[in-house]
Amino acid sequence: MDLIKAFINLFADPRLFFVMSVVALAVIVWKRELFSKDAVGYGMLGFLAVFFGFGLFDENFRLIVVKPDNVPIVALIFLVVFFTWYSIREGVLNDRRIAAGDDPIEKQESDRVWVWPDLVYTELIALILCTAILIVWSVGLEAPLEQPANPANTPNPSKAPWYFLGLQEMLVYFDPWLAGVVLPSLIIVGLMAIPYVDTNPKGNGYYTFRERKVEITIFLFGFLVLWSSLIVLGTFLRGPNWNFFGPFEYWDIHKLEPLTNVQLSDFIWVRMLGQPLPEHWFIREVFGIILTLAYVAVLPPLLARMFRRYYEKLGATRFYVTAMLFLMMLSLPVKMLTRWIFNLKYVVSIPEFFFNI
Amino acid sequence: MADELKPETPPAGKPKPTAGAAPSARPARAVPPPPNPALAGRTTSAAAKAPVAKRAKPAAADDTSPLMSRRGWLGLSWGAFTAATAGCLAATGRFMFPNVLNEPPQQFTIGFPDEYADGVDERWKDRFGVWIVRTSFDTVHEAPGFYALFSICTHLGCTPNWLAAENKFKCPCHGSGFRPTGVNFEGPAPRPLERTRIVMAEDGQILIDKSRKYQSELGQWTDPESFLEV
Amino acid sequence: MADKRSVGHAYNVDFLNVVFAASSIFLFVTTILMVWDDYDRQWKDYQRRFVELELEVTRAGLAAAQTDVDQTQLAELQAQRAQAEAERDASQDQIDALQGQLEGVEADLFLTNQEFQSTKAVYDAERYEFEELQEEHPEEAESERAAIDEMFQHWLDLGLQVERLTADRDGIRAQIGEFTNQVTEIEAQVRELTSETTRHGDRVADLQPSLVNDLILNAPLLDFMAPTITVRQIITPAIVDDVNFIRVAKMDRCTTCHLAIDREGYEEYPQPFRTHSNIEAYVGSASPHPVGQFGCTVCHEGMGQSLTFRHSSHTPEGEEQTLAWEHDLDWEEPHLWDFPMLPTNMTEASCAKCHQETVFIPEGPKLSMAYGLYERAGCYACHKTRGFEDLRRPGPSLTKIDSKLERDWVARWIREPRAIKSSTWMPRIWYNSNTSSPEDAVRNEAEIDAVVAYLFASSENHEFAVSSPTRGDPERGREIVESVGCLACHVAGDEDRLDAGPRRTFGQPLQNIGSKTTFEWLFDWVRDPRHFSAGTYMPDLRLTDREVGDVATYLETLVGADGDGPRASYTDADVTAILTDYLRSIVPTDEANATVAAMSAEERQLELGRRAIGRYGCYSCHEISGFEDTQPIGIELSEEGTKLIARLDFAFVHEIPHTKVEWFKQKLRDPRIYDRSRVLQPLEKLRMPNYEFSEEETTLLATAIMSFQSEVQPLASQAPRSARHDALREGRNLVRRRNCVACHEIEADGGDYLQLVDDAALAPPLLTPEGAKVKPDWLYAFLRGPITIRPWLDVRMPTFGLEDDHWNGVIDYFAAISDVVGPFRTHEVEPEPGVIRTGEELFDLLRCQQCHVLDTIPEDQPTDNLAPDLRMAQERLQPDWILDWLVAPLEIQPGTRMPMFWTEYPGSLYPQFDADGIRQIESVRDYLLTFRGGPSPLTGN
Repeated sequence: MDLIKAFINLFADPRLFFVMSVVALAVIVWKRELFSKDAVGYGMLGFLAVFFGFGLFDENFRLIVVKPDNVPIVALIFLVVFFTWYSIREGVLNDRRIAAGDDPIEKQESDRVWVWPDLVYTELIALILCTAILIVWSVGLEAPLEQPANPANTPNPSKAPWYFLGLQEMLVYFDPWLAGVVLPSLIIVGLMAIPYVDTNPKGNGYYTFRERKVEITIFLFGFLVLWSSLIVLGTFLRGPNWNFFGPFEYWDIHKLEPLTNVQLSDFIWVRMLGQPLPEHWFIREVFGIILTLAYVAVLPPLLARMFRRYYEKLGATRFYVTAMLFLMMLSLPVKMLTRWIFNLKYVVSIPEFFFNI
Repeated sequence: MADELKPETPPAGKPKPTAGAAPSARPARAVPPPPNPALAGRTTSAAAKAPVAKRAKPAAADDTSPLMSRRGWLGLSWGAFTAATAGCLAATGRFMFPNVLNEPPQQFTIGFPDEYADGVDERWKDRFGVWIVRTSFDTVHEAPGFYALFSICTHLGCTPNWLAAENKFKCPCHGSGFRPTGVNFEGPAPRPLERTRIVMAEDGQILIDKSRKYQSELGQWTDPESFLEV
Repeated sequence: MADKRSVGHAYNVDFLNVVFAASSIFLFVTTILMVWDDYDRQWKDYQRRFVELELEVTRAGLAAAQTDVDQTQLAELQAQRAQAEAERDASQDQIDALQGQLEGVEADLFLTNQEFQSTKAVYDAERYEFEELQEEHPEEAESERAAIDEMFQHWLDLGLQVERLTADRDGIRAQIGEFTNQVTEIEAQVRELTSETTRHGDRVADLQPSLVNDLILNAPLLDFMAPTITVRQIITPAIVDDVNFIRVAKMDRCTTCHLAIDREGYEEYPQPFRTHSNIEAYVGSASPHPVGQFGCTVCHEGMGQSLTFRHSSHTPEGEEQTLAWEHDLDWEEPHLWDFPMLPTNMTEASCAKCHQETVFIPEGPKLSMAYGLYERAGCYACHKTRGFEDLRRPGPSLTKIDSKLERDWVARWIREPRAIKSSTWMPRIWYNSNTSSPEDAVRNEAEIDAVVAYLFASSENHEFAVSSPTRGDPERGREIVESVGCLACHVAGDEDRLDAGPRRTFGQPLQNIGSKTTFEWLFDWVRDPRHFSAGTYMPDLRLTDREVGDVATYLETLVGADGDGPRASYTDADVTAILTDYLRSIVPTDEANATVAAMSAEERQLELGRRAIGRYGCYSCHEISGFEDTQPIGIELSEEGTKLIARLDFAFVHEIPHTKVEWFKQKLRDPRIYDRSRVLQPLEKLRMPNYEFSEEETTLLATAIMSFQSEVQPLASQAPRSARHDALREGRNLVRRRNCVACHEIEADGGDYLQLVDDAALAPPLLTPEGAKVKPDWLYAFLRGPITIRPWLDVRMPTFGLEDDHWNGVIDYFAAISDVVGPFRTHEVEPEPGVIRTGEELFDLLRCQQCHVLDTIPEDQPTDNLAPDLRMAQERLQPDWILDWLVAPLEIQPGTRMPMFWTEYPGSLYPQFDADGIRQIESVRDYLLTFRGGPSPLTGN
């Protein structure tokens, strides 16, 4: 048992965790035929249930899972896993039917929805069940009443509510301006923009994968890897001092980890060129600025050339908007990777204006 | 699952009217149908004369409910739903009455009897809102002792002042005047000041309990706990 | 295309109906669950149990009260009442007639009174208008005057009528009373006789289980009206909670479960229904801390607003209780409250919130003992603490160490003090739990020798007052030591430190003193301590040189353990390395190396000694040359009790409970334990020395530390401040810091000398009544130059040689205890001629001289019957006090042998003055005051 726990604790390393989640997504997409088997679906849920069940016997794990704040996350893991599997399965089924020349399953149904009594009645039942479950939940899990807030005493760890844990994780890698304002706004803007940039008429009202491969993959990457798995990471794997702890590891506030990070300007000027850092901020950060500008100004046209088909299909405006949003989204894993591999702190660092990238 | 989301096929036998198909011929109403032997005697008039036999309501033809009738299930459902809603409303109502209030205590001791002289004592008026009055002869109980008056004017709720020189409580808001006994005699006050419950505590001190009040006009001043005989 | 007219369904409605029914029933059940969960509270169970308990106790009280009632008397009274009632009934017609008359008169009186009062109101109004008129238009006023006067007259007439009617009414009432009075009186007597039983009976009736009370008034959803089971809370405006952004009145709901906490009679029942201990001092309505004004959490801490056992952060006391609570009461270590309840045995730590700047708190024996230990161990010397500033250094001066000690002995001593003197307060600085490895041993030895070298090199010279003292008789010396009072401050044997207590360990233990120092030094010291150490607290026992010789010879015979020898050897290279290590922390390594290389071996050792003393803080307890102004090494403890637990580093010590109290206790048990398993450079290690505290000492000292808190409570709730209270506070501190209480019992504390004698009469006297008893100028002279008051006593009052502010502090203290009016009191004794003679008569009659010394000690009296010289009375005693003393000696001095002669006071068994006890006592007092010629400090006799 301890060996298994130690093994799992090893996997709690953020690099492994992130890479594994990307690999898992790739497997899901690539081997979706296999993935959509019922056995896989039930097997995943069963595995999770067993994992949590056995994990509850470990004191450290139990402390995380049983905390009333974290109960939604546990539910989230099960639900996200289930609904990912379900939607992939539906998509695969429909893809098969379409490949066979049939209409997708949803088309067989009328284009009208039975409202009365079907929809309304089931909504009523769902409302009743939801209320009852919430009552049972609130009776069973008591919110603790803690001591009066003390400005001199910060709880360790200080975690955001679960829906912001992804952003809190982003704060590790990005400047607060970007991680807290710019990127969340772009998430919202991006979600709002989807109807306008997505011109693919397929997949409207029915599950499919093949007909919307790119869109679904991008979305799953953003939702599963960059949002959900970071929430899970923030809940289970981040401990005191925002250090990494395995899910079965004791949260020792004294644990120390080396977090020596270097700016890009240090890398280039000092290490590569062997010179002292220039005085003026613009010269100092010129490499980072060039890199960033290239990322946003050079990459999109490059991508337009690479994905000519999409470029022509979407048109210049749409394509560039999509490309920008996509690049912004990708900047998070890029940043994470550069941090882990190169210990890179900021690409551009201008403390004079409190601006860093 | 999607496979189950098929619409129920309409009952067999009912042809879908398709465009262009000739409407099935409906026979003209020429011959009335033969009388149904089973319906013999069962005319409206006959039913009106005959005693109404108790018979169960026939279940609707398509009622496929297990165990109970459809009506039964719906009755049960709505009954339980209403009961739950009523319960929640009752709980909400109960919620409006806190179990404990952050207020000065309603019950408190005020010292020993020999710390008080005859007459009106104002020492607790500011803190607890009562006057302590010691009398050598109370007209209601015909004995010497203590009573405590709420310092709330019975007109509109202001706090009267005790005017020792004129031996009366005088409310500054509209001029209501009360005797030391609490009886109203001038001004717009409709009834006398209220007395609080006053008893002897176990350690010999006087205990005032503002949670109970005694009103003269309701005859409650005769209650033994509205007056402490000493 | 769907058929609009087809009756298709997405679901089978009949199935949905069943689902609807099931989920509605589920919702209903959960609603009931919710209401029940909100209603069913732990504290309600406790209250229900208490009602049953209270019924039981009250029934028992009723039974007891009924047995107390004198049944025969009651029966008699009841018979009397019956008879009186019969008599009254016989005259019922007359009473009725009178009653009718009375009603008529009362009606008339009511009407007349009403008219009288309303006339007054009208008259007042009219008069006011008239007065106004008089002011504005005096000419018009005249015409009105008659009307006003008439109205006034009318009112007077009405008043007269009222008076007459009142008189009539009272007359009739009296007449009725003649018939009914007897009954009323007897009824009053009966009521008085049965008051206790009535009260108990009423309460029993109240507490009877009743359907209405139990089922309806306290039912779920209905209990908003008038529940009998309610939350009880105490809000204390004068006592506040500091919630970090604001201070709010405390709101304690403890009494919701602890229902009998302020009621006597529940002492034997288990918690939470037990009466508070020592209810006359705490919680009781007659105590200085009534629960209605103080609440509970100001003393006990914990979350007062909580209504569950767990969230209130009750703290168990000991392993056993912890396990029991975890098992029975679902208890968990409280993590969600910064100030959990203090363990019951440490509750006195909270006294200091209001009783500040004092080391003795009456009714707070544990805290007072804790402060005693705190001062004796000298914690304040290294750790600055509010209330313990400007105290002397707790250890002896080391500036003249050369004339007192040998190097080898000093090295053994500081290596392990308790190996030489088991009850010493000197802690161990080296060879603690983080410095016991073989490498550490080398370093320790080098540092120990270096420190010794430094002390001896910086030692001043000292010339003994007597150059070649002669030895005396050790047996005689032992008798002197054991009788004259040395043992009040010094432990001579191997008694346990805590058993001896902070008072008898005020001075150094005398164990092994013979192997510690020389005869010459002992002689010099005992003869005149100030000669060696000007600031010493050791007083002068006024021994003759011969007695000094005896004592010194005896002390020289106290030899024994030699202590621990060196445990490792070191070389000069080691000294160099260690010294370089010290210097590297302040100068760059190269410079450090150079400096050290330039020194000779001897210089290095001295420098290392200096560095080591600076690191370990020896100068905080001992005066050492070169360290007069150095800051102490410990952190400030003035607010340690309020420190948040997040600030305490538990390091790898996870096996102790994660609470502040446990951290402190563990630190006291082994101050270096938090270095366990850590890799640290020598200069990074913890350096608090180890006192080898026992478990009780640890608990007491932790209590003291928890009592050091930030000041939160407002002035209104502090202990009262006045000149008298200041004098009490100063005095209490003074008599403990100079150890007066080791010999004398004052205010029910101290008098440790009683443990050393078999007979209380052989111990120094009780000083609590001293303020009322003796004259201040006599006391002042006595304190400056003590004389023998009780010649049969061997133990003697030393000459302390203190300053005037000390003496005045003491005298003011005694005056404050007795609450006397001041140092100047008038007493004119102008006795009539016969009085003195009668006094002499009584003096002989009562045979005072049988016990009291009057120039000669009475013979044939055991020592415990002897009494002070009466010739001193006029100069020494307060005349009014002598009266109090003669009336009731045992009230003033419990345990005294002085008989109570006037048992019939103010009457008397003796015939003088017509058996008037008061005058008799006065005459005896006046006679006593005529005596002259006794021993006197004022005249140096």
